[in-house]
Amino acid sequence: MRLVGVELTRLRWRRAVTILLAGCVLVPALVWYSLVWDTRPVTAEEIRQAKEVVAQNRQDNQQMIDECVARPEEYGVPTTGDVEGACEQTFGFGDEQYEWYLTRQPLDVGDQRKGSGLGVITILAAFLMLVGTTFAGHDWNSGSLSNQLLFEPRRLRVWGAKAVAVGAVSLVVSLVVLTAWWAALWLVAEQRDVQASAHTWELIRNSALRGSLVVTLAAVAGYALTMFFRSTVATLGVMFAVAVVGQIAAVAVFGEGVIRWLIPTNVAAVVFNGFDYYSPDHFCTNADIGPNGCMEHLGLGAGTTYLAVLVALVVGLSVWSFRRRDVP
Amino acid sequence: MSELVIETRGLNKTFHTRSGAVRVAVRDLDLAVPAGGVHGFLGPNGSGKTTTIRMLLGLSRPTGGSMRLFGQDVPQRLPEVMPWIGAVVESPKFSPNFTGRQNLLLLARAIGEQDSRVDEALALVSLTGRDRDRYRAYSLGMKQRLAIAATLLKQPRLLILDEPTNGLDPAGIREIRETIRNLGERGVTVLLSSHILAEVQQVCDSATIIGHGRMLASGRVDDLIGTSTTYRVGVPDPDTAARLLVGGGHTVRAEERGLLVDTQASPGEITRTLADGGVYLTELSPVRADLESVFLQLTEQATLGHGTDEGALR
Repeated sequence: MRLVGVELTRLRWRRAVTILLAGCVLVPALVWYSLVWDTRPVTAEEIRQAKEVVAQNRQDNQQMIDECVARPEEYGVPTTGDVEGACEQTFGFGDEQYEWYLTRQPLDVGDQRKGSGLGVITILAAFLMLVGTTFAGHDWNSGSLSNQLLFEPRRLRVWGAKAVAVGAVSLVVSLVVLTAWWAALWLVAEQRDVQASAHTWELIRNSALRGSLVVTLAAVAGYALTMFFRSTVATLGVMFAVAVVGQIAAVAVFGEGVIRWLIPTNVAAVVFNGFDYYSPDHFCTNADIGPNGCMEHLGLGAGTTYLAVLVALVVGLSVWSFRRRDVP
Repeated sequence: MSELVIETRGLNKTFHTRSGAVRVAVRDLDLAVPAGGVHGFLGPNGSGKTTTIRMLLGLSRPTGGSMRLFGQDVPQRLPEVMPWIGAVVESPKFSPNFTGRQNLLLLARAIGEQDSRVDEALALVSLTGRDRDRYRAYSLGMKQRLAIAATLLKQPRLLILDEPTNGLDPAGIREIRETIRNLGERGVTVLLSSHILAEVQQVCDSATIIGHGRMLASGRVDDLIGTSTTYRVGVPDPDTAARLLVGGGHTVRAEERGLLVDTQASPGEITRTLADGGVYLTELSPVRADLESVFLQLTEQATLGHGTDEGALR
């Protein structure tokens, strides 16, 4: 516990960590503000303007129809029979509604679970993974890790204390930020009288809890990778390769059947308590199944197992390496 | 015989380079450091001093052999003896963005020491007024002093200092040497690794000399100096004389007035070697022996004797 306290203090004193933690608050706050702004209720002025647009359109249109009736040959409509009807059919716009000019969607709390809510979890995972990476990377880059081992030579304890510190901070930060984010959205929904069922809020709560665990695993994995590579830059390179290039390359090489084994698919399965993903091999040829026939379900258990095995491999490799290899 | 604080037997360390070559850093090293006093660990750069220290402190794994600190096998029992050991390995290594005080606080708290211990240690190395400056703003001398302050957090019984005066100005060097001597006199065993011969001769009671990872000599500094004598040799034909003497197993250096011969042989043997080659002396006088001549003689012999290691060491 003493070492964990020391590592928490070291983490707190690191300026880069402070900046990244500030990012964990500011960027989700920005996402929240953007969401609230984009879904703000339509004002009376906006309705008035939309109605004006519709009235102007109708006026312009009627003028066009009148001109068409007067000179049908110039507008390519038959000059005999029901000329007015033909002009209206050609240039009329039917029953245009002013709501068509109010394209802003109102706030739907339930939809945000898989929208901005997932976005915030992803942002937290990215920031806190960087926290784990820079925390370990700085110790290697400065060489201070060897100094620390002169005071506590039990390497497993040193590795573990740092991992617990990173994990604890990540869990607390992600829980606090996600709770605050959804609480702030609940306040907005209440103010706008947007209804969301108790079941919806239960789904959101569970997603946020599982999301916090995913964020914590990401941070510990970032830390463990850096303890293995002994370099922040190398770890960031590997993370970028896996997150971006690796996923694209995997789909390109192995086809869309590999989607089940991609990290985002399994993260989504954990956060959303199951996830439907595109699987071209799954009943795609059966016409009776319909447009969703190519979708396959990945359950919470399978997603959790996948992530747990992945993190366990990274942690195992990191601990083994740290215990066996010479420390510069 | 006094208790040994440090003891290694047949210690080996080899590295594999990226090209696949095997680099021998330490070879069959038997090191024995008795309790109390200041023990010099002397060798040229790349001779294996730092590698040996890093193995003793658990930072590096030996390839073979055994090590004991305070009679305990290490690295297995290192956690038990580490509270008694303070060490500075190579250059001081701290977080550059933390203040000197913050760096020490983290180390002190890791071993359960009170924060007040940090103030005491900082005062001992005269860093009290600068302890809230960032480490990166410290001069090299201040960094060295902070590293020594870190070793004093433990109130150690063994202090291992690897080139502690590197980069210090003359006043700083004198200060550190006085600190080392004082610690030695207070009963702390100090292992002072250095390639500065004068430093070891001035500060140390005993010394071990290594070259190419092997122990070349060990004992009290006075005894080490006594094992070798340097003679000034005057001859009409220095080139021929040098060839004859080197052929006879002596170490020869040219100087303005003739030749300096480092040897354990008697003056009579030198005379006979030269006379057998048809060279007759004009001068043969002993020069006061010092650690430098011993060091040069031993390391040159090691180079000649282990020429095959040279390639491996490169």
